[in-house]
Amino acid sequence: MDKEVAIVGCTQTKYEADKIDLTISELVFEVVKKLHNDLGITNDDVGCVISGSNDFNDGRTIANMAIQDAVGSVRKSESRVSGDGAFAYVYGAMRILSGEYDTVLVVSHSKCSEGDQFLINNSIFDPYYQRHLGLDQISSAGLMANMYMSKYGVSEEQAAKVVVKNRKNAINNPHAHLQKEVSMDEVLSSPMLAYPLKELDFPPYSDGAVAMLLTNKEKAKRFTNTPVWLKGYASCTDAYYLGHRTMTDLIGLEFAAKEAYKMAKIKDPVRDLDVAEVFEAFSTHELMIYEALDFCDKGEGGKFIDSGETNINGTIPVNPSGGVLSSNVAMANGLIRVAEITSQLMGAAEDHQIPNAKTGLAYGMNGICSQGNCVLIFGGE
Amino acid sequence: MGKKEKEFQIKWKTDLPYRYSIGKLAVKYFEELKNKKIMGSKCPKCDKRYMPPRAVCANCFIEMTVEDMIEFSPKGTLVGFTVVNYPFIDPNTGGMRPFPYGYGIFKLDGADTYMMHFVDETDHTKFKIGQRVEAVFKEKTEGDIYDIPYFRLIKEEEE
Ligand SMILES: [Zn+2]
Repeated sequence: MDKEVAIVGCTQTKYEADKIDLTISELVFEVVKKLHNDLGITNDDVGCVISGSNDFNDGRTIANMAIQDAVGSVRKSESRVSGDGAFAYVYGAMRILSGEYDTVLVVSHSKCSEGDQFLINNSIFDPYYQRHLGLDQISSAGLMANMYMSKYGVSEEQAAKVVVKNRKNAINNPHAHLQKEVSMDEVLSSPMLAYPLKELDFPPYSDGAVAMLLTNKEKAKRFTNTPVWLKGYASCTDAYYLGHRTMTDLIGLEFAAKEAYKMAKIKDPVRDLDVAEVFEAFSTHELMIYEALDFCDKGEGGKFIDSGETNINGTIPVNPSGGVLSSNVAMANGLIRVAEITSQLMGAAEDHQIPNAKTGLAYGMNGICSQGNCVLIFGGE
Repeated sequence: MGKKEKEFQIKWKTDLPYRYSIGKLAVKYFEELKNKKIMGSKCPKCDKRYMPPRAVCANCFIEMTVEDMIEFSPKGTLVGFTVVNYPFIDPNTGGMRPFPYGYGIFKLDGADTYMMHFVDETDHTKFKIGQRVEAVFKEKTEGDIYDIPYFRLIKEEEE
């Protein structure tokens, strides 16, 4: 896939909890209107619209029906992915590849700080065998972290380093929710939520929206001199029941990464990629992601963070934006990763820019503990 | 952002009742749970033993019926654990669930997949991966998920 689908512009809101001044529609309108202004286009220049959201988070069914005016799709082709925004990007890219549309607006949003995230996440589990037993994303993460750390001898300090790194990066990202550095001690001494994970091993709940315009190779240069091209994509979904998965390794992500690397002709990801933005749902999760993305060998995620290679000045910076640990916009996280990689490859990431970033990876994720995985590889001009 | 002093609220409470069919496998599971037996599925083709029971073997993509259900031991081996230490609303009662509580992921003897359940231990230093666990049944079972209120850690000298 060479220069078939371009991203020509992205916009993001500021992420924060309790954005009571703006409704979901108004949040979405803010990013869509800004995108129009940035690109100098009107709604008539948008061929179709794809969004990514979740009904439980929005508190209504077929939640995209309520934002038609804000995305400009009244009496226009529109569809939605109920899941992580990275999959909404994929849907949008397919609409370009179909040849039916020259431009596609992709949007993702949530005001997840307004719902009860325990009840929403508990409802992922089946109502017969699991939901009554109080599982949610935090207790599941505790089980996964315990199994992974025990198997490979990864320490709580190594996990805490992920939080310290991402929270430090967020200071230079004006969109980030938590823009306050935390120390190793603060992470390690924060209240235990689900052993071995503590309060600061988990992200906040953030409200916000992200939008981008996709187009084809003929039209890309009409919008920008620095389009960002899709080079590789794969997705892979693991078993529904946590007990039916491996749990110590992110097998679904491994499969997706391998396929996406093949398509993008990535042989040595650490060398061939300049930057990665990943959906880390908790500290240890990012270490597991390093392994599944083949940035290091299995079980070496702890040592890899020790090496500093994923720091903003390392050989493969991971989450220079601050990642999900700094801004957790449930369901928009994957599309935010795509937007951040786009900014990096356009050279527009300002204070958190990775110098000369030419190739980047975005990882979006659905469900509990990396059940659904979407890996996207992008290239700049 | 928010000008809290101007906050204006519209409150409502929604009940969203369903009459979910739980299916033949779950009916059998809960009937046998009442008899203090834990049932799972065994794939007729690859022999993989699933807990909880499943209607399709993901490996073979073939159907598993009530005939393919087998009993597992109430004892198993711990592969992971956590201690949950935060307050949240119990979806069953609408009230707050008492915490902390222990949570285990383990493989019942005879099963190939893991299951998860409460464990009657809230001190994480008392857990050990590889440790044996056993289902504790209520005295008077009713055929629901709480017939096993929790699993207990088996002390080494008991084995
Ligand atoms: Zn089978």
